[in-house]
Amino acid sequence: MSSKLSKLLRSPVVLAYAGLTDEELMAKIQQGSLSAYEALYNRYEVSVWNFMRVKISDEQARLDLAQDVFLRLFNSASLFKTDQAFRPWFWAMIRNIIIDHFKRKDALSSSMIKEEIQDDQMSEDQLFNDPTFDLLVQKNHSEAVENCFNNLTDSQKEVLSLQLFSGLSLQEIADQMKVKTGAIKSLLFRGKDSLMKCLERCA
Amino acid sequence: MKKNNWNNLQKKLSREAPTSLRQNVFSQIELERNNSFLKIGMIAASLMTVAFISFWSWQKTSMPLIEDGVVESIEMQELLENQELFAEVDAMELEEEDWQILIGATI
Repeated sequence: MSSKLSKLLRSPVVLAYAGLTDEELMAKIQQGSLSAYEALYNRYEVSVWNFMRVKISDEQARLDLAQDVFLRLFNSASLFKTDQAFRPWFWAMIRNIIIDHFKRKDALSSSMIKEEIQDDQMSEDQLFNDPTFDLLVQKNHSEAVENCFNNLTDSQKEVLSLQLFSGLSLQEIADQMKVKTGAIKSLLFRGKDSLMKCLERCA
Repeated sequence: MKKNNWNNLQKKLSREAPTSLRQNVFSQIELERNNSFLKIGMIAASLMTVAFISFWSWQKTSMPLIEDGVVESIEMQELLENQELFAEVDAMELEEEDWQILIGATI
């Protein structure tokens, strides 16, 4: 664990709000609590940043957009209904910010539907519990994994990064992308397959 | 959902966010909050100024009449209710004698 992370985990803010759900933190933010916002920021900083890394290659643009995400989270807190789930709301907001950034000229959802076939018959166990894939990832350096990841198609990268960093379920990801769950599974399978082939070559 | 094997992939792809992100976000929020407080303060100050000017204006036009005993027979409440009429009459720049006639007519 990095020193930054361990310091963060011991901070009074994290300890004070550790037991609260995201939705409860949002309710506190709506009442004007900056500490609650900091606690929520700490929970999502790394995942948002890593999702942005996949989507935005330009370092400065990525930093600006990540900043925009967290500022919008603070400024739009009053719009959040505390009886709804936080994560889908938050990740929908992130995706909208990114789509706005690209001015919708490359609408990923629609390109994804054209590109990928649907297959509802794939098993999640087969997808997520594959020892060969795990071993390949373990054997390779981070740089190699990242290079292979960057070679995936935009839609594969988006779905894989949502799966890895957002904590959303497949159904929730499908809802975000406005496609069927089968299409998401299909993208994950294809992405994983491409990653495996690339990592085999690197190994 | 089981996703144990993907945890390795997640670890390999994860990087820490730059410290500048946190600094930028929180300094921006601090700035926005300060601006909001400043706006609220300015609105409050404007309202207080308007209230003060109204009171000052009322005092300037009405108090001399009350102090001089010109309108001593008129209740303060009536004075307030008829402020508009008084302002109109005041604008006529009547002499004290005319005032007394006018007051006598209204009682």
